[in-house]
Amino acid sequence: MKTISIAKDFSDVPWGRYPSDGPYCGQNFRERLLTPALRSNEKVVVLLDDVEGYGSSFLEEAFGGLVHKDSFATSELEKKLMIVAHGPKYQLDRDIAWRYIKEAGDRLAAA
Amino acid sequence: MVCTLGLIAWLSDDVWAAVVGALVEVILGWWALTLYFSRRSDLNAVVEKIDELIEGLAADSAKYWLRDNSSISIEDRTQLEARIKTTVPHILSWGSLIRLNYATIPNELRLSLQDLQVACTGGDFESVGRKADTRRYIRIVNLCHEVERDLHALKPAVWRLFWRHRRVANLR
Repeated sequence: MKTISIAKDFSDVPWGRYPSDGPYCGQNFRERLLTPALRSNEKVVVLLDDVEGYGSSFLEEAFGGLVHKDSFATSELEKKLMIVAHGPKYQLDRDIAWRYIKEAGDRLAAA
Repeated sequence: MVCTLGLIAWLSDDVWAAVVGALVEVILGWWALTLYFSRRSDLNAVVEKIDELIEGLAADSAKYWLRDNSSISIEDRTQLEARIKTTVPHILSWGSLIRLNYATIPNELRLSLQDLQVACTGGDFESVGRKADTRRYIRIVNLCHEVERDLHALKPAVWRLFWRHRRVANLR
């Protein structure tokens, strides 16, 4: 099992969607940390706490992108990925991340 | 004579018991009512704080989403982005105070807040080439109204009257 703390392992100020928006964007988080961890581990835990704040654009690119860009199935992510949020304000981000994963899965299924 | 005195004593005992019972009832009722209205007033104070945050969010969203990135300085844009993306989580912190101390938060309100965060910070938010998005702004304003409406419908739960996790002094 691999644990990724976004605040410690990536940035405590994640910002934007694409690398053109900044180095700590959703695409870089997904491509450098999340996708490699999911490909080489049975279970990946992502800790959302201790970050100054998430934009939904970051969350969509980081988590929704797993489905629509890196071709993970929603069912596979439900088994392998655990998004953990302790503080109430991060629980909103956790729910939004899962919402993006499911929406991306639904869009693929409808296409 | 003895019987009459006994009857008077028995009656007066009964009357006293009735008077004391009624007094206790009145005092307890008054206490419960005072507690209810005090709790309701505290809840209203928290709701007012959230109203201020929502109004600020709507105003910031207008400045952000009704203009392209090219027409806002980087400094102003960064300020707006930081304020916009931290406001809904901040509202949720107040929401958990309400949940712990005053009232049950309905699921519709939770979902409206989630929709509001997605509307405010989704799409091209924090993107360099962001364009003005009037449709998104209208959606944000509608969601702000929905959240305000659901918030003002909250009433203190009776089971919360006698238990609270944290004191919320200095709110009023």
